[in-house]
Amino acid sequence: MTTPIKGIFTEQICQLRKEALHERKARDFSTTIANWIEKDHLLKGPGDALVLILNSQGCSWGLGKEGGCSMCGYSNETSEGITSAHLIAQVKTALEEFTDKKFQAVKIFNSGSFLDESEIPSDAQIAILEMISSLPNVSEIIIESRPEFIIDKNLQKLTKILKNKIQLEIGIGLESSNDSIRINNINKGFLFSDFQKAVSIALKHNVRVKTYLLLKPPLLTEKEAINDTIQSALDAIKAGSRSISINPVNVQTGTFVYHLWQNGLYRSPWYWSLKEVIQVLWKKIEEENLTDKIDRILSDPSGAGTQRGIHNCRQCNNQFIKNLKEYSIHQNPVILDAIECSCYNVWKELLDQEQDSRDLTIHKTEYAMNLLK
Amino acid sequence: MIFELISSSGNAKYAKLKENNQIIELPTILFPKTENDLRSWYIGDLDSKLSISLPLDYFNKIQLSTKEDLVFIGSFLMLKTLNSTIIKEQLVKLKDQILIRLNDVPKGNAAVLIQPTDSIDILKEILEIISSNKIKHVAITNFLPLLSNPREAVEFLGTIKSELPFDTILYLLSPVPHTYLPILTYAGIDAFSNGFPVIATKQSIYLTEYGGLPINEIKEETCFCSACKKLNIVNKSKSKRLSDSDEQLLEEHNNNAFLKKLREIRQAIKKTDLRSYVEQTLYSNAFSAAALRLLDELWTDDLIARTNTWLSTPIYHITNYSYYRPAIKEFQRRIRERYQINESKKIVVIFPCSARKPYSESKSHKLFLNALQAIPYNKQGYIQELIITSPLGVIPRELELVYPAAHYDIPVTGHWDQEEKDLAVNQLVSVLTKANDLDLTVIAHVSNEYVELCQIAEQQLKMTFIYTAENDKPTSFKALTKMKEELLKVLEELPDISYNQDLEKLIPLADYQFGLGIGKTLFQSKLKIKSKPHYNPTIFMEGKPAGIIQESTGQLTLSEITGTKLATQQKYFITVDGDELKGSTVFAVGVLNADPEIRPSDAVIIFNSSGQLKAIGKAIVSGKDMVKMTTGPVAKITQKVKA
Repeated sequence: MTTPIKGIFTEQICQLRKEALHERKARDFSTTIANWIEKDHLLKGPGDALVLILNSQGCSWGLGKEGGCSMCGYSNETSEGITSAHLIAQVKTALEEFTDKKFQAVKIFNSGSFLDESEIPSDAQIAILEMISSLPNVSEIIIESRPEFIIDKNLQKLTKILKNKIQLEIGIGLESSNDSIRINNINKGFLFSDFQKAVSIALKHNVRVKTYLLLKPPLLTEKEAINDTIQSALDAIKAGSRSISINPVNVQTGTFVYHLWQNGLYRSPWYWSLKEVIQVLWKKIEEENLTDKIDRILSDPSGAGTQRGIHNCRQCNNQFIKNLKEYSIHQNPVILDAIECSCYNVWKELLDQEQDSRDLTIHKTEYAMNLLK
Repeated sequence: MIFELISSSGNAKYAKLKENNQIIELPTILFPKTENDLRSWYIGDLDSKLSISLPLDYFNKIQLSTKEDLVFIGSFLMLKTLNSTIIKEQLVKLKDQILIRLNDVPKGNAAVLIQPTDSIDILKEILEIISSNKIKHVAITNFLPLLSNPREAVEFLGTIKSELPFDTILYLLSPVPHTYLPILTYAGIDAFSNGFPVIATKQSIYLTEYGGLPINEIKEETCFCSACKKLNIVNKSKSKRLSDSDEQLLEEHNNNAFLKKLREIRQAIKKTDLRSYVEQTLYSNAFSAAALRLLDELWTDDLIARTNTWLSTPIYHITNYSYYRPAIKEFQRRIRERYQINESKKIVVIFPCSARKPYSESKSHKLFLNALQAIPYNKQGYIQELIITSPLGVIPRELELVYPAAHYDIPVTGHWDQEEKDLAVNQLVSVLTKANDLDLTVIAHVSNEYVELCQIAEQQLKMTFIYTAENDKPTSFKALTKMKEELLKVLEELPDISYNQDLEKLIPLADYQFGLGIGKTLFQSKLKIKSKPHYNPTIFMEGKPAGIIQESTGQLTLSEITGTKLATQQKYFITVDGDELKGSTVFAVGVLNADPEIRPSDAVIIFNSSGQLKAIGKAIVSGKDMVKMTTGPVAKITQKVKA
């Protein structure tokens, strides 16, 4: 990426980000923000993964002059003044905590780009990967990065440590393959071609790519969002990404999305929409003969079932949370068919009406009795 | 696209829209149209329908679909929470795009999408772009949060209706419940998405006249529409979902409930009295009541300008909101600004109102008038009668036939609330203050609660009234005798005065209609009103017809003579383009100028572009509106003036 591309809302998103940062909590520099073990569909099938959320400097895009994404409030969970020593200590303590647990994969999330040396200095990158690669059962490490840091030099440094013993996978937040949506609705600052380039570099180094896609960026209708995520997944697969992770927006405080949400102009996506995306996507993969090019289509939504996160109605939210987890582990979309709820018809009707009227506030009719009292 | 405005009532209008042999009547509904998997909207609730494409999204340049009768050419990126700098940047781009797209879509068929925004200034800037490009179809979205914020809703709609020409059609794409239609129509929406009844159906909600119920809570049939006859509505189970066929019937009923509201509204506007209907349905939700109050408070000038000055239909005083009806306020304003007690008067007699209208036909007023008749004829000219009433305030006897003085009906209980008292006192004080120089004697022939009103007025005026019915009923022999005595006391000392009753009746009427002082310009002494049974009274001046008094409304209609006299005053005029008038209608496109005081139904005079009087007519819309409008009829020609 040469220069970041400005979106329509860039100034406002930056401004909101700055305001939100004032509220940043002070945290202990030498412990991670959180870590846990979760079931997941790993490269070798269902397995366990250790998740480490590092307390880091924060995403340099998110904190930068033109950056910050419209839905992302993760910068609020970072700290200023973190050093390599802190980061190394964080990982060390976390790994000690889980020494007697079995897991085959480690996911390292640092609310930004692991490969960005201003966020995770080079020595910390090396030290962290060395620690993990010395663990007996781990065969998979997952990190995250924006495409501009996926360059030969940065990858060589890491693959040298991992040799061929451990598979490295980098998650890239493509969010959407549509440049206008990514630039304007999300303010991601890079183009699809930047992503394509990053993927090919990664593949050259035998590093796998997982693509994060954002389900329902702001100012899109639910229907447009569904179509965009399906198309984006197909585009990402064709670019060489063998894993897709679909992230339905959850409303994070202080973000652009949050302000829209507060004004009734945003509703986080329905579970029915996510189901539609996953099922249609598998069908299209088959139709377009892409089955060999994809390993897994995952979705592990944050804030699931709440007003801020992906949700349907009170009756079926919990069932969906359970079945989606099942689906992600077993990669069997039929699991999602097991849910029936009367809110399906409401969703379907609102999908059409929202598209016809471009009324982003139409969710106010979800509990129509409230308007009739 | 042919637009024809037929009548208005507040910001609501009854109008027709014609294109490709299809005629639709407004207000109406919008409902989805699907053709070869392509969606758009139908407009219309009768056999005839027009279609409109879907609104465009904010960023992507979409190929315009010109297959529909109306075509969206732009959506304003003006969402709440957006920084004004961003909105303004996008506005510049969209302005250019609109100009380009107007090359492909005829102006009369172009539509744009707007929505509530944070800044009124930006809204006005956007409305300016719409009106300067003569875009006549404006759709609104993202409106639903405003249903819980009546102030913002009224500010938004009020600004739109005030800034855009009255021939612009407002479409509400947000699906609102049927119970919000009356107030939203009154606030200016012309077409509503019928999405809500369908959404309610999907939630098994049964729409009722004033709201809705979960279908399983219906214990008795209350609707007998064809769908309800087939739908066994009572005792639907709570847990079980409706069968597909039942759901279809429910949707049919709900659509009927929605359409019923819409049709009732249209009927009410056709009768030019949506206001009464709005007041009747006010209590279905808190929004309606608050919004009406705010409309009356913030947009009263627009509501008055779009409400007929002259009607023959009764006004029922239903709620406290009735005090602020445009017709009432306009009457009060005209009394304050255009009525002046004739300088020959020496005595004012204040009477209480009566339930029967006009007052002079009531039992009580017949007694009052009889008593006054007993005063020698050559002294009667000194007496001015004023009638105190709620909520109109003060009505001079000469104007008792004028709408709405002879048309309103208020429950008479003897109780006046504070608002009513203030209104009445304010009017009385205003009328008497203007007559300060006349050194009037005021006889208050009133009792009970009216005494209190007069006393407050006395204090404010620093005057002393003579009370002649304070202790007895005003109709009692004792009180009437006392009144006569008091009158004679003053009159005895005054010389005889000649008195033309007809002239004294016409001058205040003409002043009320056209402005203070106009009456004396139009009418001079050699004048007679001739009445025949079943005919409206005709005025003759020096033997020639000088106008007619419409008994049902109280309005004076002009003749060539009075029209010519009014022409010298530059009042109630419309100037149209060209030398000669064609046909019997003045169209907006031909209007060069008009008196901003003109209201719908007012008598007007029509000039050609060189200022010659060409016709006498009747306004359909206000003077302000006819100047801003570019399509449709704005006045009827009732009589052409020969050169």
